[in-house]
Amino acid sequence: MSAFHFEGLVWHWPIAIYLFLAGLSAGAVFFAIMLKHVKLAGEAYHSPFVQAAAIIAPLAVFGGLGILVIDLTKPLDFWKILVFYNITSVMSMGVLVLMAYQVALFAWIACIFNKGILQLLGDKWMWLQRGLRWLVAKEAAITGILVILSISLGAYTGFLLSALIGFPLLNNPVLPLLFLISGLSSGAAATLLGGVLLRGNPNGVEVRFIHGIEIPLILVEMGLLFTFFVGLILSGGQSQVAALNAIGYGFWGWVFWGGVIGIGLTLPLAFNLWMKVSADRKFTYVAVTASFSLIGVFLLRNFILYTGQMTIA
Amino acid sequence: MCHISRYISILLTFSAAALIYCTQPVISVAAEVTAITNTSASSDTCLKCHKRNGQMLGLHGNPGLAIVCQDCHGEKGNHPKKGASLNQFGIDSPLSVQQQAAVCLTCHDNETLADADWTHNVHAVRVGCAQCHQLHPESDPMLSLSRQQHSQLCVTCHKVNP
Amino acid sequence: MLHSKRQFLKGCGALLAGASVYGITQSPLAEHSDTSSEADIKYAMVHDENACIGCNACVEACREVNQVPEGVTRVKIERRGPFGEYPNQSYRFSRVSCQHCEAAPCVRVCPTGAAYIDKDTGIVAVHEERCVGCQYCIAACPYQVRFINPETRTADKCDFCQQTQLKQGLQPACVLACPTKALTFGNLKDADSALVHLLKSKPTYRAKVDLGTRPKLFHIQTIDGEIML
Repeated sequence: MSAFHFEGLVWHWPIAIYLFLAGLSAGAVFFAIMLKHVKLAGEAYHSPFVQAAAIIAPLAVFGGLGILVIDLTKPLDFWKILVFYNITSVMSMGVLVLMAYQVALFAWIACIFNKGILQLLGDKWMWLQRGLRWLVAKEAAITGILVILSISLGAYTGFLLSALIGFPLLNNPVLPLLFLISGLSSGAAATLLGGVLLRGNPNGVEVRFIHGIEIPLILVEMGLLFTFFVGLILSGGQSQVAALNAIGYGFWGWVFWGGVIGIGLTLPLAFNLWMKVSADRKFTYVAVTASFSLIGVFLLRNFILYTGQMTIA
Repeated sequence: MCHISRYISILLTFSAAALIYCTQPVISVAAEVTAITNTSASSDTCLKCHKRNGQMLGLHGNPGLAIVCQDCHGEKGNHPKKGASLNQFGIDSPLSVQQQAAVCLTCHDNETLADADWTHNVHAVRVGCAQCHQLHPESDPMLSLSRQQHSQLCVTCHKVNP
Repeated sequence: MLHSKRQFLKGCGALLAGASVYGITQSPLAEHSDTSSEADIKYAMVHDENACIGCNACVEACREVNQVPEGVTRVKIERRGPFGEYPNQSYRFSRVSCQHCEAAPCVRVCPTGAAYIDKDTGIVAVHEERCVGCQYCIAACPYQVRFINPETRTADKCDFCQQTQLKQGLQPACVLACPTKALTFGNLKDADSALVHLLKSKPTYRAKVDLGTRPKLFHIQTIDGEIML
């Protein structure tokens, strides 16, 4: 049995990339909102980190959806998913969430950068300016809705897989939570990386704030991974087979222990703790830590997707 | 796909048999050339009478294998007089299925046969080899069966009347 | 103001309750939906593993009748063995094809409703035009019997020959092709059918019932050979 080709494999890496990007987008938005509300308030639009999140979130969600559409066997028929709905289908409900999420995302971005947009428009397109002012008046509601939608989107990436009852590793109640938390931490990492690349201060208030949340997030993620696999092993039967098959010897065992646990969780946790005690943070520290987190989450998506389909109920 | 693998396996068997003939290593193949003892015998005596239907073509006729009529059909004895004890193969054979199969199994290995086609196993004591396989013609029809022909072959015997 | 707020809350509550009731009744997984009990026909199949000889005549007949392209198949005969010592060996055969689950996971996950249960026959079928090829149904099916038809690029599977044989009043192609009469097809709701008689006379099993799929492909287990744990 090879790592990427085996009997019963239905969903390949494009789905893992899609899950990664959707979670990343949701996470970036979540942290941008937190930054604005807890730390930056009206100055948010100045911050390279919020700017980075505002660029990354839509790009990631579009990229993810693009990959998803190309991966269909009939890509030109993708509009049918938007027209026909099935209330019992996680994918169908997820598409609804995604659509609403994108609307709320652009409305929120417009609110945050309203000053810049108004300046740019000058005295042209008054209807657009009126619309924008109306949006700004509703910013609190939009933000609230977007927070709910971003969390829903992050969890949806897990529910999508956990609905597959034929695969015991995937059909696991912890999976949506695990994907939500790891999605949030990938969003935080992407925001940090984008922010410092946009010449944000690596020792600034934003980095300190996000790092402060990241440490507990990593610990929770480790706890969830532990629960995930111990839960499977204690379930016995094919669940146990699936879990031991995934984290035991072999290619995916290496990906899990070296990639997900080592690069993705342990090293970022160590760096974060080190940065917390050391006086100041440098560009390299922030960038490397964020990159490791991103790699870890990306590997986790692939690891779960592939090993999940290796063992059937 | 199935055809290709079958051809490859035939080719491999063929070349392995040739290799064994030259070097005599102990390799498990479809037919190990071990049981041919009567090297002094030749098919010439048989072919004096059996001119038209006596030739051995196909895989078993490969000169490298040096199979002679007597290897399978047994010594001439009184043949063609009455009371001859030549081995006959096929559905009309006086030999039992197991006796017939035993002749083939002197060279062929049942596990290798099972790898080539699982149905060998379930017919081992029920159907003689020659009821499906034809050794004398240029090609054995069993080696070039399509999937449909293969399953129809089962149907011809196993059909239950409604 | 207070009054209107209360009314609003009431309205929200009613809406929520309504939506959840609607959700439950619409669910393909609903245990006793009215529609399924009304229909007079519920097709099912029995595979007698004692009679099956593993000849694959069913597979070939299905391929021909339903024009299933090479490389994919709607029905497979899974072979296990050999059991016993040569020359007295046996194999066990099990039919792998759509189980026409009453609570079909493929129908539940399909985002466009392309996978559906035909209310009149209980057959799990595919709306070819609605399918976008997301392959969610293929991943969701615990029996792994769905595939993408390389010609139509649509999710495909056994439909008990609904579009071919049943239309002409014939039994499914596999049933007619089976030389040993190992397959019995019929209407579960018809107490006089050969299917119901068979189900009532022999013990049968169904695959993976613990997943709650309630499949309608029954198997009569092989009795010869060793007992397996």
